Amino acid sequence: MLLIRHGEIVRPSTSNFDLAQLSPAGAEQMRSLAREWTHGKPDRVYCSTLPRSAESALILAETWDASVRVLEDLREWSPTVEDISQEEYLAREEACWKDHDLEYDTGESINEAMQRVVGAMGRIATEVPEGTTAVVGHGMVFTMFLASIRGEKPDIEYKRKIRNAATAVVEHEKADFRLVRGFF
Amino acid sequence: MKVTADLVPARRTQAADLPEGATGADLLKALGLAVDAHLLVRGEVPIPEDEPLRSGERITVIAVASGG
Repeated sequence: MLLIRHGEIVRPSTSNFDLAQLSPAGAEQMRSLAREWTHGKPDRVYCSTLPRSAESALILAETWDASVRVLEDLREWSPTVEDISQEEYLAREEACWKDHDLEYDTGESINEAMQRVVGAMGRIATEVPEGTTAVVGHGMVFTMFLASIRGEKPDIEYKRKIRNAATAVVEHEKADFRLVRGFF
Repeated sequence: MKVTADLVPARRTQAADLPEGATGADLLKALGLAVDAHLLVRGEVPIPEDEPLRSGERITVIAVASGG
C-alpha cells in the first residue's frame, strides 16, 4: 500500500484549510509522482472528501488508469472547524497534542481520530487484499496511522516533517500492517 | 425527481428538483456550480458528469480545481 500526502495547496489566509485546493505546483507534483512511480502502478486510489486529497487522487488515477474511492473517514483531523486566527488554532492544536482525549467543537479528539483512521486503513486493506493500492491523504492522518503500526502515540513533530507529495510504503496481510518505508 | 447534494467540505446540503433522466452535470447546473470544477461521488465512487441520476439519491459534491 502506497501512502501519498497530497500536493502543495494554495494556503488560505485563515486557519481552516478544508476548502484549500491544489496549487499549480501541487498538481504538477502529483503528475510528476504518477509518471515517475515505477514500483507497480496502483489499480485503486483512495482519497478523502477534502478537495486537496480528491484533486491529488484524480490526477494520479488518470495517469495510472486506476479507479478512485472517496472515503469520509480519511478526512484530516483538526482541533476545530471554527475559522479562527492561526495563533488561536495553533494553541488549540498544541493543547490537543498535550492531551490526546481533548476535543473542541469537532467532537473528535486525537485518540478518536486515530481509531477512525486505523479503521479506514483496515477497511481498505480488506477491500483490496492483493496488488498495490494508493491512499492519498493528510499529514495528521498518516502520522496517526504510522504511529499505530509502530505501537506508539502520534507525534506532531513527525507530521511536520511529511512534505507535500511525500510517499511511504506499508505492506499488509489483511489488516495487519508492516511499515516498509516511512515518509522521510 | 428530487436529488440531494452534500457539498463537502462546505458542510451544506441542498436538494434539487430535476427532470427524469437528469445527469450529474444537470445537478451541478441546478446548484449553480461549475461543471468542470466539481467531482460527483455516488456512495464512495466518483461518477462522470454525464451519468444519469436516480430519483431520491444523495450525491456528494467536492470542489476540485484541476479536475480529472
